[in-house]
Amino acid sequence: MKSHHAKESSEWPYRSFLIFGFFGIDSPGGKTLMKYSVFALALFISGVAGTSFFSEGIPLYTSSLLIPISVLILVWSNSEYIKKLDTLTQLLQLKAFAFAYGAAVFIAFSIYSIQLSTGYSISPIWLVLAEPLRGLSLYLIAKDYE
Amino acid sequence: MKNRIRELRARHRLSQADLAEKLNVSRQTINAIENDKYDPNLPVAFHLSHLFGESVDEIFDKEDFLKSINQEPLT
Repeated sequence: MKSHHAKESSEWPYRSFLIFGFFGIDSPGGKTLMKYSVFALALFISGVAGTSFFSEGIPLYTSSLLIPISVLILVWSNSEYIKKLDTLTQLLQLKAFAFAYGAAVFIAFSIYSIQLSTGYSISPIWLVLAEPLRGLSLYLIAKDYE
Repeated sequence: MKNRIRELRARHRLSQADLAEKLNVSRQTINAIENDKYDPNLPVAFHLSHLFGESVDEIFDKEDFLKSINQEPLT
């Protein structure tokens, strides 16, 4: 039964924040974002697998190109998704992206610093940590708007 | 900003989800506005005014806002 008078639950889709980093497939544009994200992930995995499998030539270069292309698809699909949100959900999502940007810069320069001081070569794949941090920051930021 | 949206919504027998659908915003956005955690943008404020048939001044507590800024009007 619908509640017209009582104070209603303020729950945000916290599970979706932590697992996917957005407002879920029921949010405006959510299904499209999910489709593009799955496609981008498939391209990314194909790229990584291809660069491990092929040792030279066009197959190697094509595989290596799939990795940045998959990231571009993610960036584009997220920016299209944000356009479809209302102003509060846009604010939350953009704050989370700002936090993830800061986290990514921090991780990148930490890797650089460790390489400079120790000479160890560290894979930039660790930048991917910015993604779960984005979901976590979305979770924490949304708490302020309950 | 304090407002009367919860009261007006109850008067019109609307759930937060119903009102959110009419305004094309999320249900949580309605909840945040009702709980004075978020101020809506002008289109949403005018849309609320249109739906409830009351002016923006009557829905949102202008006096409370004016007290918070503590400034005299320009002459």
